This record gives sequence, C-alpha cells and structure tokens, in this order.
Amino acid sequence: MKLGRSRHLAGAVALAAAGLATGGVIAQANDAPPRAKAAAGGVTLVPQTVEHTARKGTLGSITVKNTTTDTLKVAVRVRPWIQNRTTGQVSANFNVSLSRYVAASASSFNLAAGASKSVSIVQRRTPPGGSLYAAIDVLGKPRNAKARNGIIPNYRVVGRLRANPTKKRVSLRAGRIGFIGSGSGRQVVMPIRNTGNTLDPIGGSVTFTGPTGKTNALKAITPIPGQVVNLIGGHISTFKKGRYTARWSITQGTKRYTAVRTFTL
Amino acid sequence: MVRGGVLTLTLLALVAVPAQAQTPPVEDGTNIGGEVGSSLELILTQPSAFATFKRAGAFTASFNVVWTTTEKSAQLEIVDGEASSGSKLGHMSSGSKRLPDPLEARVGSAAFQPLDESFDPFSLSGPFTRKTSKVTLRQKVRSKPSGTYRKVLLVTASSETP
Repeated sequence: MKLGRSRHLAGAVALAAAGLATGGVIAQANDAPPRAKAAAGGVTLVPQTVEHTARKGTLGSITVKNTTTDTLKVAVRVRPWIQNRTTGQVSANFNVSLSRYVAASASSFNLAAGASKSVSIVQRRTPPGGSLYAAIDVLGKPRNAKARNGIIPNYRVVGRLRANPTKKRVSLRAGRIGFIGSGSGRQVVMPIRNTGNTLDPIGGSVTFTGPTGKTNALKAITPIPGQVVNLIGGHISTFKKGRYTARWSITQGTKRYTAVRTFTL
Repeated sequence: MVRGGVLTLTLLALVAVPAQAQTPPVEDGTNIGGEVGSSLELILTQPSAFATFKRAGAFTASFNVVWTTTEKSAQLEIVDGEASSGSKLGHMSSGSKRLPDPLEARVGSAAFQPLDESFDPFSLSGPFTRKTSKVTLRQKVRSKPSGTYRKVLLVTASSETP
C-alpha cells in the first residue's frame, strides 16, 4: 500500500510540474477556469468581429476582460483600416477615429483586475456608401505604470466591425497597368479601386497576348470600399520583348468585368 | 478516512464501467457539435529587466506573448507605448535622459528591429488557442549609465483581414 500511494503522489507531482513548465496554465479537475501564472495577464476581446447591417443605433456589443493583476485604464475606439495594396492585409490607423459615424458606448473606463465589461458599438449616422468596415481598438494601460521602471507593457487588441450595407452595390474601377519587383521577381499588376460598398473578394484571370502568350489566375483579394489594391497578373521575367495586350477578366461577387490594357516590354 | 473514501469511490467506478460499455450504440443521425464564439486574447508575461544597467554592453530580456484568435490569421506588433515621434521614440529614458541606442525587439527568431522605426508585424495563420510567441528585447549600452530607466511597450494583437 505504501509503495502504491507514493507512486500516485509521484505521478501527481510530475503532472503538476509538467503543467507549470508548459506556460503555467493549470487545468483543474473542477469547473473552475484554467488559472494563468500570477505574473501573466492581458486583455480579452469577445467577440472579435461585430457584424450587423448598417443602421442608426446599436450594431452589437463587445466584452472586454482584464486578466492582469492590475487595474487597467481601457480605451475603446473605432478606427479606419489601412490596407496593403499588394497583400490586402489590413492594420488599424490609430491616428484617426471614426467616432463621427460609429462609437463605443463607453469609450474610456477603469477595469479592475479580473473584471469584464460589456460595451455597445453604436452607429451615430449613416456612413458614406451605406457601409462601414473598421477596426475596434481596445487599449489597456496599467494604472500604476508611472510608478514602475524597466519594461512596462500595455495591451492592445484590435477586433473588426462590419456594418454591411442594406442595399449591396458591387462596383470597381480599374487603373493603369504597372509593375512591381525587379529581375526574376518582376510582376505585372493592375490597381483596382473598390467603388462599391461591399467586402466581396475580387478574383479572375488575365490573358497575355503578344510575343509570349500566357493565362494566369488572379489571386483573390478583398479590397475595403474606397481602397485600392493591386491585382497581380504574374511574373513576366520570361516574357520576350515586344508589345503585349493583357485582357483582365475580373469577378466580384456575381459581377464580371473585362479590362484590356496594353504594355511594352 | 479519506483514503478509505477514495478506495470506495474507485471500486464503485470499476463496477460502473462495464455497465456503461454494454450499452448498445445508437445511430440515429444525431449531429454533435456547437459554435465557438469569436475572440481575440492577448496575454503577456511580465518582463523584469532593463531598469538599471551596471556596465556597458548588449543586454537582452524576453517575455512571452500568449495569444488566441478564432480568425484565419492574426498579427502581432510591438511599438513604443509612450512616444509616437521625437527623440524619445524607441529609447529607454530616465527623466529627461535617454539611452543613445534604441531598444530593439524581435518575435521568435526574426531579426531584431529598432523601436524608433516602424515595426514589421509578425503574422501567424489561425485559428489558434493560447499560442506562445517569445519576444526578445535587446538594449545596447555604450557606457555605464546612472539612474533607473523605463519604457512603455505597446503590444498589439489584431486581425489581418477586414
């Protein structure tokens, strides 16, 4: 019996040690939530995306939770996205607020350690185009930060707001052909502006005719209304010199467009 | 007493298991599932270094970013949380003094990036739950500085898609 008991104890100790070694989150046998290591903590945003048809009033709500051991001063702002033309990736423009159109019901508040707060996202007036795609910026700063030295972390989580239009308008405008990269990485691109009010991705294909003939599929990209992205037509380093015609067959939602552009290599 | 209780419970459990195993499986087309609410979580371990520098040299410290996203991708960015421009941007300071070299940071094994310039975000494909990314900070010190230094670091976890 003694030997058996000590084996059980050894196993339990080993399991506990493994739990501590893998990031300090200890799963408990009861219904209590996992407990993080005392020194670790941060901010949780639920849900990550608030999506609703654009209309005046409440579009949805988010819950902000402080999992640190300090009281946080929390600021909630709705900000526009900045979109990378080539990758289509977005990042929030933290210098601009969209509070004219959409704002949080509580834009600044103190949140005690372990506490959570529900905040409504309220549309104040109809945005231009009838839709709004924006970032929900939640910034948490420890209140005792001024008294501390060394590295003091602040926490920022950025969710998404999708205020979809009541009436979809799919529209785009194609620009002049251009080139990105150099040498073997040189690619032909065509800038596209989303002049509609939806988040429908743009895709399709491009056919080159000239000294070298080729058809390439276009990698789908999702432009935000009003933003310009590059449709990448593919590598042209192996193309022979001469005059080319590029026929871009573009699809967005259920709409199809054709844009014909010429260029010389 | 407790040991006896545990033994009793174990025996009851052993008796109960064969009874459950004999229950015939029921196949009536029932789907078992559920929806997980979308969430974005950012947890940091506290970095405990860089308040004082006892000699010249290059000092490193690290902390973990433990993050969760329910979306297809997410990005992590580390910027100066106090200054957005000016001479203090990216530099550890002590009152009006500042270290001449900027604080540098990297995520995982990427190259160090000085925090007085724009930070190239670190992207990860999602969804993932409590993924740990190690952030290493480096501060070069040319000569032994006096005083205690500080820097507010703003760590951002965000969506990559609109």
